[in-house]
Amino acid sequence: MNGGQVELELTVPSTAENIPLVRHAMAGFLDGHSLPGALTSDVLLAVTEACTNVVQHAYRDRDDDGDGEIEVSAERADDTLVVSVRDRGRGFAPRVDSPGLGLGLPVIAALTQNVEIRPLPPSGTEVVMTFTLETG
Amino acid sequence: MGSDKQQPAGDTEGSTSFEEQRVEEQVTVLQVQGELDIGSADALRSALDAAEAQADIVRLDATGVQFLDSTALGVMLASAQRLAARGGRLELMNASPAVRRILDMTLIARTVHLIP
Repeated sequence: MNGGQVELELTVPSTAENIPLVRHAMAGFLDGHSLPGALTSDVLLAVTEACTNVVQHAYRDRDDDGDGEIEVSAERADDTLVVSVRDRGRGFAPRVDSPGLGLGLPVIAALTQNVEIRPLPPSGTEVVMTFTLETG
Repeated sequence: MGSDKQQPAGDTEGSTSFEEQRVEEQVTVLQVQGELDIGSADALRSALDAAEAQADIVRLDATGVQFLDSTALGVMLASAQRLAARGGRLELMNASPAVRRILDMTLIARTVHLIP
């Protein structure tokens, strides 16, 4: 979907308090596309899980330089919705002291038609989630 | 058997609120309103802790829960395991289809007892 038009772009500080903000912004975006309710719920959950991963992992090695940011974008083609969640943090790596259950990525994988996790040079991670829109 | 309404056990975290009611000697109902995610996880944890102190069976009424993610599930799972260790259980009632979906997806329904 590289040639697609970006229809939503949002950048917020990487804090837990901002995750509902991202979710509500995404809900507003999805409202405008008249998606089925179940698909909307799936997208909102997947975006929340991806943003939670950023808050919990991406910038945890930073001292007092302030929080990093979460960048969220979404674009719709005819039959797909592609949502990307990016950070400029330490990069994707296993963590033995994870504060969560480690369910975030499995949940994302279950909710999406495709998910790609890419390094983002010079540092950071991009999670690209593709949803197939039901037609008819 | 009568409902003995108590002081709110938790507190309010953003737009999410928690209210605890003792409905039977061994059952405490925790009514939750709002969205359960990383932003309200600490408040959920506190509310469940308080409910666990009241009874061995904690019934989380999710009628007012509009959203629930894996962070909240983790908090619920920990509570369910604590209760199970002493012969109790965590029940979840009135979960929406969206909430049930993540429960089914993560198989947490094996640990948290679902009530239609």
